[in-house]
Amino acid sequence: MNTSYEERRRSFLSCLYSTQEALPGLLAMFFIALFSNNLAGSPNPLTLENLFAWLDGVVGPVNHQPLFQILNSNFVWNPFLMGLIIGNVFGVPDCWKRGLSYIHILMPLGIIMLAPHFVFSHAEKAGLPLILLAFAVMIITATLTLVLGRLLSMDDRHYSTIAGALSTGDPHVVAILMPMLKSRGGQVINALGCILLFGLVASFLLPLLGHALNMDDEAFAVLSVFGIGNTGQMFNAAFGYSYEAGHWAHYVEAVRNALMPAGFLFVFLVMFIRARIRPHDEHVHATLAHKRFPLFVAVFIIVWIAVQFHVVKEPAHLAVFELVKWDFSLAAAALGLSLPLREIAQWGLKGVVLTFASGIFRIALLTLCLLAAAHFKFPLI
Amino acid sequence: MQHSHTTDEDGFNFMDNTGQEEHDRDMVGIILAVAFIVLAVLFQRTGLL
Amino acid sequence: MNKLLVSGVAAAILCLLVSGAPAAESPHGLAPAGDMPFIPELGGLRHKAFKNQYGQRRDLSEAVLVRKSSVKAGKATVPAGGLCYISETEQDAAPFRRDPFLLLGEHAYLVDSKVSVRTVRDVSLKKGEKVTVDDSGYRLWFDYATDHYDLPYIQMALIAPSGHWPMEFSVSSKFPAIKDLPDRSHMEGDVEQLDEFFLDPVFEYGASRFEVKDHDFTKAHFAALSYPVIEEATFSLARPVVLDLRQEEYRLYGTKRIYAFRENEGFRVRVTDFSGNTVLAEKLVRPITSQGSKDAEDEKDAYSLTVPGEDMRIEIAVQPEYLRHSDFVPWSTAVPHDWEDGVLSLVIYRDLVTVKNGEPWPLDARYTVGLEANLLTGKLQRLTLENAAPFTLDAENDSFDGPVKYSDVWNRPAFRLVADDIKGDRALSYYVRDAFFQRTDNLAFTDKGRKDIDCFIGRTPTFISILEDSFLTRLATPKFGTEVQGSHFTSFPSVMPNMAFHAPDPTAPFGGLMRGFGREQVTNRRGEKLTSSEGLVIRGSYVDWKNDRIVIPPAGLFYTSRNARNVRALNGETFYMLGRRAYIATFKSTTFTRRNFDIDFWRVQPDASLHPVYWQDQPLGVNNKVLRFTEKHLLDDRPMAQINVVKYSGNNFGAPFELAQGLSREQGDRYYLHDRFAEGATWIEPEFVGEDYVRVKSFGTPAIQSVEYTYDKPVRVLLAPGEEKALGKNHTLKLIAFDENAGTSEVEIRRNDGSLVEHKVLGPLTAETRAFLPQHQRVVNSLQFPFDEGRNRVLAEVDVKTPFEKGKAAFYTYVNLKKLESDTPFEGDPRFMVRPDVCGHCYQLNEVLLDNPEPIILDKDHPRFDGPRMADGKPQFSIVIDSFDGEMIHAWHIETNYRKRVFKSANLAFQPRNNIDVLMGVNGTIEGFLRASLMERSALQEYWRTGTHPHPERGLDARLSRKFQ
Repeated sequence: MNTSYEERRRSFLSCLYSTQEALPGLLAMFFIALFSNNLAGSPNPLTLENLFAWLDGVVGPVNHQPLFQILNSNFVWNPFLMGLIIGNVFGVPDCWKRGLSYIHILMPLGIIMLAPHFVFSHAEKAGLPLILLAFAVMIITATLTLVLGRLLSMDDRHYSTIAGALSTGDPHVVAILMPMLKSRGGQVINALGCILLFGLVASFLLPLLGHALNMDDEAFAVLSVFGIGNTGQMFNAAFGYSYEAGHWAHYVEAVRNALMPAGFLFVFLVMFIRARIRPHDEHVHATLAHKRFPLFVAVFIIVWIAVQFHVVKEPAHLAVFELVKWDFSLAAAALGLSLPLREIAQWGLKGVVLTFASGIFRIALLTLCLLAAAHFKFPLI
Repeated sequence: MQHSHTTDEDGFNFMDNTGQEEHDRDMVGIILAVAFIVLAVLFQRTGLL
Repeated sequence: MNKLLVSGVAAAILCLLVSGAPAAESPHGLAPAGDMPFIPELGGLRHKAFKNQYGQRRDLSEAVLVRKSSVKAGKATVPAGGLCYISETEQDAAPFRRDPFLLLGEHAYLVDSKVSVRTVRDVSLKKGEKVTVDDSGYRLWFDYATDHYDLPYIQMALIAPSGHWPMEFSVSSKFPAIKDLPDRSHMEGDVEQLDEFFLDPVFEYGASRFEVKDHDFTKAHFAALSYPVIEEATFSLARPVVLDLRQEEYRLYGTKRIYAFRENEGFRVRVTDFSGNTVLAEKLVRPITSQGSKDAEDEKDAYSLTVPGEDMRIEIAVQPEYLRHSDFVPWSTAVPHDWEDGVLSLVIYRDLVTVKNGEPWPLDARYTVGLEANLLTGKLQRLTLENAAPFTLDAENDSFDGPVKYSDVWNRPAFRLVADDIKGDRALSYYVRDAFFQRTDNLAFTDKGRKDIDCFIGRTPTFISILEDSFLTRLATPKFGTEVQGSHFTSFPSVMPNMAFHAPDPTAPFGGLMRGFGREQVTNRRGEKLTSSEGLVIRGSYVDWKNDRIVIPPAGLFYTSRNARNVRALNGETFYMLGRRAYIATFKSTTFTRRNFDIDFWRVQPDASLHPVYWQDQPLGVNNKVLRFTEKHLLDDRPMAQINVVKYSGNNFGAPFELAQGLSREQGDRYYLHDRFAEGATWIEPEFVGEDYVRVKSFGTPAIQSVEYTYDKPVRVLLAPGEEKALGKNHTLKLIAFDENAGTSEVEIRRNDGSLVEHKVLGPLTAETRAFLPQHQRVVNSLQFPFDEGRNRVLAEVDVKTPFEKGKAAFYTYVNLKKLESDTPFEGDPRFMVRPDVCGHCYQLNEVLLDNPEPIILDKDHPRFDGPRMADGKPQFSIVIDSFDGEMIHAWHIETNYRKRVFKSANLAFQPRNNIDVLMGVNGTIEGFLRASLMERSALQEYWRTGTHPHPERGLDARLSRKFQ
């Protein structure tokens, strides 16, 4: 029965398998998604998202922000967590597995549908100097992380995932980069853990730094948005500093959002070109499996460019984003189910060292730039 | 060595994604993504959203 | 003991009242600190609309309020009544309608209530005071006094112990009353200014009646205040059970039999034990139908049977109406008609709880129940639970439990007030935790802490009344920067053809005070201090994303200048005119009248958008005002209509017309309202008041045609007969003769080149004519001498304060007069139209509006629009679009020119917006818009503070679209 895919393939739709084969796994993803997030069209109130929201209420806000947002509870994290628990406690029945393989359809699907989210004109208001600074810091951080990762002799898929997520400041990027870099699930989650841990620590320490340097609110907002990135955590830092800084963080976040694709595409391209140049190097794993430039990345880039011309206006963008939530909820459920805990641990603590080293460097670099701007009275916003 | 988490008794590993199968999956994903976006835009432009 | 305390406090209040000292010891009817934190949402405090048996909407909400608390030496003290839970319905709750009501988070139905009317006699108070008028803490508030023909009229409010009041009312004993309104049904079109000024000494408001005996500008004495009070209310905490029963038969209800025997007046309902041998209760019960009068005190007993000692109250509902439209739909399966024949529907209410006004809450004696009636309908509107004794919070004892709630799971405190960090005289951390253990943010908000632990949590409408004194400061002082709420982007531009008579987007940012928009206190010749201020309003603007542009529709941008009251001639009063102080010289007004027309009821339909379509408005002239029928009630089945006069600016005229016909207290009606309305110079006399339309027999209101003003300060001149003085550069004023006894003076003004000379006898200024000052233009005109048309217009007027002095006559002279004429282009900048607004009472200038007659288009190539040009040729303000991508506005601001400097506002699209509606500056017009959206704006302030985005479907936006008019 162990027939290869090529043998049973009739058309490209063969990757969907038969309904009978795929349905159990799809249902598993579906129900995990349904009980994880408040998804468009689902009236189910018994979700992990709502449970966390209630716990937020019980614990009370931290720096006026909900605690579970600071801990990165979101539409990817919730179903992932639930999948991880189910998979590790109960195991994954064989009959689910064909269906769970839909994750590989859902990933490119979700990534392309994310494109309408990144509109450059939303960032324009912050002004060119800040956009250039943010861009430079992002590229420098990504490059540094890649170099440091190599020096730490980590697996290249692991450190490039960290590089992408850290430089863009968004943990979602680990999932976006997964099919691009062909990283392993354990690496992705290990990287995610590193980023979250760094963000959490930084979000509580950054205000201390800000107060020590007597930074103004706008500068501190810039520091937290580009120094931490991760939404809940950067607001924790900014609002922990002052209300004003918190409001400015909301303002500046649009820049980070708009630049994000450039960040992860940069990491992908570097790794992709590297793998083309040294295809036989035993240390090169990332993107190696791609025979040629992946089509879905090309489509993403095309859609991304098209979106800049306001092809997808509100609320079409909102509708597409609701689909992204559905998509990533399903995919994250499958990812959670696929991972035994030891596989996450297997990639070790080097990631933590790398993230903290690069992250601290980035904060130092940003702080220097901001202090210089303040010194020379250069208006950044 | 494959672990039981992702591989079934037939040796099908749902986290593997290579070759023609990967290509086909990408294709389905791309078609759906573009279709969803186009539909959303179309619905909006025709006043349905 | 409690009763003793209460009566002791009441006695103390009475003593203080008699002695005339301010009574501020009880927190009843008083507001929390003006800067108290407001948290719009906490899970355990509900806010939801339900429907009653007849499908009528009931907006219910709950709140927790702390007031008059203080923090000292590590202790927070809350006085008795300082911690208050409020459950409120925006409408009212009455028996026999299955009206929903919230009891500490639980959905309940009001099944019975005991209502009476309290009359308090001889209440005296001074302006500004809020005096307690009874034991339960109702207060009378003397808010404001102004005058007409120099006679005072006063604005008052009766404040319930919770702090709620439905409206301010104007009364006066100095003017003709409404009943004196003559028949004016012959009047049509513009007629000249009328002499009578109406104000009733009695404010009739349905179940309430307030009669002023005497008053002046600073003191008032009320003969009687009558208002409804609820003594007792019974709620059912569970869904009622509906039993279908045939006459002369019985059905089992638990272990009891219920029989119904037919009689001519209804059914004799008998409740027996299981065997049918012991009768537990028996009574003739009449079936309930929807007439409002059935809940009258002397009638309601006939419609229900309460079984003593058993948790049962039985009513008979009439099929099939009760099944329809209700939240509560019993398990009812349709059966063939024959089977329904003879079926009677008994409704049995259980889980009954009776609470009494002023007595302890049944589950928690630490709390006192307060029941407040809707002043109009006399039915239950609010239930409050207040701490009966004062309490303190400190390091050892840092929390105080709220009242214990009824619960299906376990009866527990409905909330808890915690102050867990008090240092010295500051509370650094305090919060409220609800029955689901969820807490608010730290209510101290900043590290500085607070000197009290006042707060308001929840969304009951009482919030709006409670903030009356402080809301402007709250909204105008941006503690956390200029708040901007992100827009909800839609697929369609909400195209507005013309924004006259419309309010701006309720989410429009409010910029508050800004240099360049003047606001100052000015003094007139009589020494009266008046605040004069100007502002800018943009309304109805939208992004036309199909064409990559921002559109401000006609009348969508207006400059507004307004004083604290109308601007009067002959007093040297000033107002702002584009950043400069302008002196009013004279005005021209008429009375606009209409007769025999219909006004149809309007509701927020058809699209429930933020800019409703007011297609039922009745215009009053062109670009003057409109009539809008916005609210209706049935008072014992008599329709009552509330009609508003809406100004050009989109604000309502202060006093709505409340009309109902055929009610009479003498004939025993529970309600009374005037069947016509007259206040000041505005009147309305309906021929028929229906539920959905009103036919108007005659209506009239002032309209202003033009005003003349100058930027040059009027100069006082004293002239002896034959003496002359220069009147500006080009004219000369000469006194020919005067007669001090007759109060007349004959003057001549001539052009210095001799080309034009005119005489006029000014006056007479006698006791008879003075009785019409300062408002009547016939008299005003007789004392003024305008001369020369065109650019060099001048005017001389009699100094009415001291017309004759040391054998000379005194005049004020005005030069370089400019004219503002309604519906004509503004002289200084013809891109704008002049729309002066009149005082609906008194024919005087109330407000100067300049607005755009053509749409204003802003796009990438035209990102800037200059407002009206000031006297120096520079625009007073400019609108500057900084970042607009064709779909969203990401940054824009307002620039003003002030004393040769340019000032910039904050970014008014800090969060992306789809319009550039804005309120800038602070004056009465802007205040009106703010008040109308106060709850939403305050909620927004809170969301803004913590950077949260309210879900568009939840609360705010959805609510706004329904709430805002």
